[in-house]
Amino acid sequence: MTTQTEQQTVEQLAVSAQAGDAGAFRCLVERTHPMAFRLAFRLLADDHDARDAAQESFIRLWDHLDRYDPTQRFETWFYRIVTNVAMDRLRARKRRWGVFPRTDRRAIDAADPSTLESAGANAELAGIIRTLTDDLPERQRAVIVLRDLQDCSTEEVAEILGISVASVKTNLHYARARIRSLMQSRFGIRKEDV
Amino acid sequence: MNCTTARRLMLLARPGERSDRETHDLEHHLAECPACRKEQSAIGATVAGFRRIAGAEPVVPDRSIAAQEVIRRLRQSSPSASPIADALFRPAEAPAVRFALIAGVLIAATMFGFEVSTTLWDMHRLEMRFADRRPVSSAPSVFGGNPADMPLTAARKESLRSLGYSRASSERLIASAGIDRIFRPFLSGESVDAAVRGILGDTPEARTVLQMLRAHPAAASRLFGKGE
Ligand SMILES: [Zn+2]
Repeated sequence: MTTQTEQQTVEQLAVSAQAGDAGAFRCLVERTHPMAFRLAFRLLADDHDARDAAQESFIRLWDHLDRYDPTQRFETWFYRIVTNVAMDRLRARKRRWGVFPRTDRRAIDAADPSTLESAGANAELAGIIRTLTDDLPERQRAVIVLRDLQDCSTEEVAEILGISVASVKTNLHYARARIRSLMQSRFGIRKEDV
Repeated sequence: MNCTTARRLMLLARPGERSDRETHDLEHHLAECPACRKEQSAIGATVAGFRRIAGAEPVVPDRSIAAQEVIRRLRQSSPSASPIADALFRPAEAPAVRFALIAGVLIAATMFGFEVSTTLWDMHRLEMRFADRRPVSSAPSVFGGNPADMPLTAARKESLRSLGYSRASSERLIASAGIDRIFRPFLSGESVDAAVRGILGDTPEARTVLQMLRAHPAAASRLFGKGE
């Protein structure tokens, strides 16, 4: 990675990558991977799935890079890709084994110690997110993760999910109500506190 | 302001999402309405509680290992044996491949009946430039003449071999598929601009090839498998 690419904004890197600059693309991946993983992790509540989803998002990014409009904020545009990939996975997972994966599947990763390490460190957090968002309808789940955990604005959430601002608010309202009652019942948080 | 409007505004908890006027009206309403005050603090507490419980930072995988993995998967998902796909990620080794692509584009172009005479001179210069690497063509039959009765010259076969095809398979490909098929898989999924610039960089050669392709959209679309 050169100093020049380090100083570029992600938007500039995306433009260079559009023009076929492989170094810029690699730099763009390095720069945005943590945020892709974080979002995927919060949507999927699973370390292994989040790693895969982040990877797949970058493959899709590469395929659709020519559609990126540099006047748009790159992160919002890319969030849309990550969210789509994660939601596809969530749907596939639900079809396969109910909402959450069997834990024994993680044995596959035993060869890579760093994978095990982060899976271990993230396991508790994944469990918590699962408990709270598990039975939310898909859209509510995406809205509350993007808005309340990822700090996206209402407009950004609408843009990322391709829904109206009004729909974001409605979904947010129901999701928060559900999570509020779950925090009381599952985490023993007193009613006065939430 | 009524309670319904107030509750809608409460969902926009972040500064900047409400106008000054709305914020003012909401505060005014909250001062007077105990039910909405209660709802407001409940929303605040729910969001804060949710963030406290579920919003911790996950341990993020190493970004440079992740980037390597992305590149590896990209190589695998594009036709991996393709020297062009490879060149996308190894620009330092690209010149031979670059030239092969240009040559390929032009061979294909002539096969589709392009009028390439205006760019012949540019191509000639290009050939000179890469002459020390691989003289794809020294015969005018590659770039000139009537495409319909262009023979399968040694130079054309040679240019295919420079793309990584064996002698036998390049002959078979030329004979059976036509050259457009040969290039399409390398480039599918990319815009013509991105594909050409990906190989050639932002160079006069790239501009020449793109100019030519723009002037002949139908052939470009056949060549790249895309309507552009
Ligand atoms: Zn009220």
